[in-house]
Amino acid sequence: MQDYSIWVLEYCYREKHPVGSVLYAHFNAGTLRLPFSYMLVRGNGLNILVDVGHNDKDHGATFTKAFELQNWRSPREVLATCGLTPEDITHVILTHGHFDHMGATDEFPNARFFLQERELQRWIWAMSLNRRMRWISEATDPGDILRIIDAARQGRLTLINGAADNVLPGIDLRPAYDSHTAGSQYAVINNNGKKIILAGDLVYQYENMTGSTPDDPMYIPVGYSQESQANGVVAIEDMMSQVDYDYRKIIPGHEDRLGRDFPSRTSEIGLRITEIHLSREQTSLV
Amino acid sequence: MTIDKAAALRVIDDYAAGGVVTAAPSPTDVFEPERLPVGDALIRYIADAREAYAGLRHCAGQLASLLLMDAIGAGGAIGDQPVLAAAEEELRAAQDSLRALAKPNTASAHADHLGQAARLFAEALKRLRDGRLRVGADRDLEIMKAGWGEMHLAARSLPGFQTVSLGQTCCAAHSEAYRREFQAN
Repeated sequence: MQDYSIWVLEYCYREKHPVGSVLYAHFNAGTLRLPFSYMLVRGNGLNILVDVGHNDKDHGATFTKAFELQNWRSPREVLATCGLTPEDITHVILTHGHFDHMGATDEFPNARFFLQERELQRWIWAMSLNRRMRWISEATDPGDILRIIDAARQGRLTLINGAADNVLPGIDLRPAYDSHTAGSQYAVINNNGKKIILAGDLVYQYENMTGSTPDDPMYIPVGYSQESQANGVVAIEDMMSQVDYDYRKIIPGHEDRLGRDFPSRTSEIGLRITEIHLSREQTSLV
Repeated sequence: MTIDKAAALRVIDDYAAGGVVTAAPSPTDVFEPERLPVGDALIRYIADAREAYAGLRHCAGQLASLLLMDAIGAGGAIGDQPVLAAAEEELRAAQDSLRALAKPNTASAHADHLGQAARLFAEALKRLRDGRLRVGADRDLEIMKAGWGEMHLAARSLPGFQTVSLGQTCCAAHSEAYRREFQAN
């Protein structure tokens, strides 16, 4: 039986982000604090990250300044709050290829990366289209592709084709094709038979799973999908059905209220660490 | 110089809907609206250079996709890939656009970075076409990374250019902050 500890590590945030960008078609609904995060999964001698955040150093100060992203910290700084370095990371699961999830792959020289093959194939296809159709590929940074090539050439990129059980002991990957992106996937952590799902951007926050009427829940698609919103709703149902419809077992990376349901603290660098699950072999970080 | 804010804002709005570049290794080169002598010539340059920047960005993405196909063993004969021909056409159009640009002194650094990016992408393209890119794996990727670095440098030297276009994504709202900052100055 496996028992992984799981933490959500914030790496920057935006104080005022339109609700309509998070919940589909919720126009003029005000703003919310939007955290940008990746997940740390530790256990069985493995240090696993689910996504790696965006690469700020190449963009320089303009990126965070122009788009009001605050307190961006490098993976080295963020992981230091957990007593780790990027070199300690053994595996990285990339939920999809957007710049804020796949941007910092070159920070992890020892990690093996897992990505759905369809995500890359679709990107290659999009690049063959004429520029009038560039909307399809605009959230992907060509620089991120150049960085992941390094990992591929070094034999550290594993492309997944569909569902894959036990890519690491007790960790399953499930595709959500043609939803938020063409090759989105989510990770299912099986802890002693109890599942916790790390959802990437298939859900941004709780309301994507609960709607605004808890007594009669309705899934609300995320604010942005490159592919099909209907498929995004189907993906939420797929995830919910695996955790007995308990949305608190599905962890969104852009949810600011995780501290409501899980132990949480603000680290010495002003970013939040939320402890989703603590195994017996790990020490609490909060 | 006359600061035509309305024109500048149109450029930035258009940019937000389209997307492209910047350049500068030192923090002092980072675009700061309050320090930028925005004049008509520069506004015109920014508006006109967007096409070249977008073309170079698209070309870089196409070349990156070819390298990726090769790296994951999905490429087959790269020279036969339609995306290679598309990249050649994209680069040719971007180079034509660059040559036609009127370049004020305030845009010289930006124009230099774009020119250098175009030269590096052209070299990568030639190596791909010649089938040399697979030989010396580090060298080919370094050429592309250097070119992409020039795109970043260009993007940092003037407003209206970004390597990741967020204008059409969930981050589209962020461009409003960019616009407000420019308007305030």
